Amino acid sequence: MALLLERLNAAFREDPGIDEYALVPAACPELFGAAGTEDLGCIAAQQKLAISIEGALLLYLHAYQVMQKAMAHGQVQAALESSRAVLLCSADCVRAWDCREQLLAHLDLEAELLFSALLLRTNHKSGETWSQRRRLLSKALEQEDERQRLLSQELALVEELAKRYDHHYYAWNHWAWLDRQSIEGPAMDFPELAFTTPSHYGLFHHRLVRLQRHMGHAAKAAITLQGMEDLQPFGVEAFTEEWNLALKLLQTYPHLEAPWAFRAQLFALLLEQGLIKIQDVAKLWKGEVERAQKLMESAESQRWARRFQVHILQELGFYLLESDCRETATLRLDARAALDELKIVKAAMPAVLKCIAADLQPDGDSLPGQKGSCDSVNSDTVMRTEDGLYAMRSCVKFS
Amino acid sequence: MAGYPERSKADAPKRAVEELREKHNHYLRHLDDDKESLEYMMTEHLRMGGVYWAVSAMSLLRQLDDEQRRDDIIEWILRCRDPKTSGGFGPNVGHDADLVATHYALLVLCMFDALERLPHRGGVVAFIAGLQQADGSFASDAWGEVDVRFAYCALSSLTILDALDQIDVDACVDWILRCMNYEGSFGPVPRAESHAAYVFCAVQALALVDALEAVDVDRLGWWLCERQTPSGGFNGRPEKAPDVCYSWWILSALVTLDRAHWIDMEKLADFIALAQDQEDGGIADRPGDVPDVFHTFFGLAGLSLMRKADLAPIHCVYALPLEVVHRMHLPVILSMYERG
Repeated sequence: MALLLERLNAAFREDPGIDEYALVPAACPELFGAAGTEDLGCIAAQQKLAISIEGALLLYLHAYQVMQKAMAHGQVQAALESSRAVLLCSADCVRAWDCREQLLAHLDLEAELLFSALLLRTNHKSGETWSQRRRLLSKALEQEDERQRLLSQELALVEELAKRYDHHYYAWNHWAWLDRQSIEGPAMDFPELAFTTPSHYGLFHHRLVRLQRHMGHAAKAAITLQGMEDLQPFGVEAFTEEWNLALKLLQTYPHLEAPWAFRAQLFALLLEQGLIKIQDVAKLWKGEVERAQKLMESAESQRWARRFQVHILQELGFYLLESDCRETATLRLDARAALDELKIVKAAMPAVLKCIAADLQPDGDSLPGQKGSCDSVNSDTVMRTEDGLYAMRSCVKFS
Repeated sequence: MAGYPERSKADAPKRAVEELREKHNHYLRHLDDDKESLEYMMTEHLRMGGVYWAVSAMSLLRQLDDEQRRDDIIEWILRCRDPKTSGGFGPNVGHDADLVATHYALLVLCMFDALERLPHRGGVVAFIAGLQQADGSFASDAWGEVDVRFAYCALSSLTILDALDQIDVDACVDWILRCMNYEGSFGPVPRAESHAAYVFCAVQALALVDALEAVDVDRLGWWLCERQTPSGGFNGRPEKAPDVCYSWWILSALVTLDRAHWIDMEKLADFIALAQDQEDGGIADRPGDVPDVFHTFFGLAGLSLMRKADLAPIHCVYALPLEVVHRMHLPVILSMYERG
């Protein structure tokens, strides 16, 4: 099997830019010749590499032994080549990654990033490969003049992998990691993918995280610079962008869960952060319920639309617990009526609906002005979205 | 806290598991027959996990009675100890130590009542404590990548070894809570997307050190319930296909949160039963797929939690048979597990 390892090494020497590989049965005549001829083990052409499955077993066993021996005897080149072969057969082999990590000083970072991308294209769920990639990138990003190029290159890889596989957990978490790396520089663009398909809940999650961070930073900056009295609403523009995107996706893909979940989380954010004036909360909630009822075309969209109504009702319940002023008495009654309807259609487990009912119970029947009065809010700022205008509060609760 | 559920009278899924008991047992006993296969080689780095899943599954089936195999496994585990560390275990002989493999090794030794065979407990404790980072999180190995899984492994291992005082528990709790997201759920690191398997780690880690009060139980409970799909099986996050492994990750977290009664257990049990291989034993990730040891354990563990088959009860926090937790006098964590 030394021959196969050598053949593999030669392939990489000849073309260091190999960017894709696969394990293929040796009985594939297009690659390894007609049946009955010798199994070549591996073949490379046009930046693509094929390793025969039969050969991979023997290659792994041999390369692993070579790697252990080379590490014990300080043979750097042999250790790097054999660990590469081991990883091509088994990308999560921590022992092989450990070898390469120990020999990092002997590696060209750019070439190692290429190798890692090669592995990810075939082993996109290999947690160890993603983890090693972050370690490599941390080092590479220390070079200031290379930073932007590396970040753009990395973003392209994330998009490429996310396009191949829906709901790519590793890819989107990697995107979030990159976003944090670029915190000092210009904000990273969201991949175009967000505008073409909603089947990437991970992306929406990171949009929400970034929106919250953006609003939090803006609030702190405003408080520091201007003092509470002169605060202008902030984050409204960023919020409106997400709100409009959620609406667009919802209208196009009402049968998918992710757009509904995204919209519900934005609704929650709006209420939780006290972004909207209390007199417009009822209008907002009723508008969302009305739309959800119109979007129940199929059994699937009906399921998500009903769940969405439960979600926003739960958020409204939390909101009402904290906001007790004269407007909420009517709203509370409306909310209880909506809950009764959701109970009839079994929109959620009874235990869940029971919890919401508890939140909507009258608290001393909401004596007017007893708790935080909405009269104390003053703002004439308006959030203009594609589905309406909402008066915004000037004081936002960021902790 | 609701009491430990009685065995269900519903007999359809129970009968299915009962009928296949011998086949599951046979499947588990012959997992390592083909040591020459590519698949076997490619999972070398998962071997300690594989041993834990197989031994636990056999323990739930009450089939852990082969003395020779017990001795062989204990000896193999002790050979996985990494001499380059103070006492960590690698996932296989000759592999570097990591926290996950060390935790699995301890769990298997517990099941075999062989923790006293550990030559130097203090070394294991030092290895684990040494992996705590300045922010309270835990890395799995010397390379430092952190994750809420490792926090759970550390807290569970140190509870078993009665050495929680060797780490900064408060800092660890603070870090885990930073992994909580806006929907009340948890991701692997702060700000990462919520994922049901990481919810298991976060919830059970917090339960181990009595720090669940910071969790919004209803909100998180609901997020977990919403993972139940029309097929009865759970997915791990929105829009994903259901998978038997979440029968354990999600249900055990719901039991700890005392919200297991929010889901449809009959449908979940049916989903697991349908994922069994009727011919050769074992359980797959979903009906129709090829079984593996990972899903076999998680399927049986889910059924055990629901008391839907004649299986040994499992402790939802330690992922150990309840009998082992009692025999070792480990803290029971939840009052429902108190004896008498």
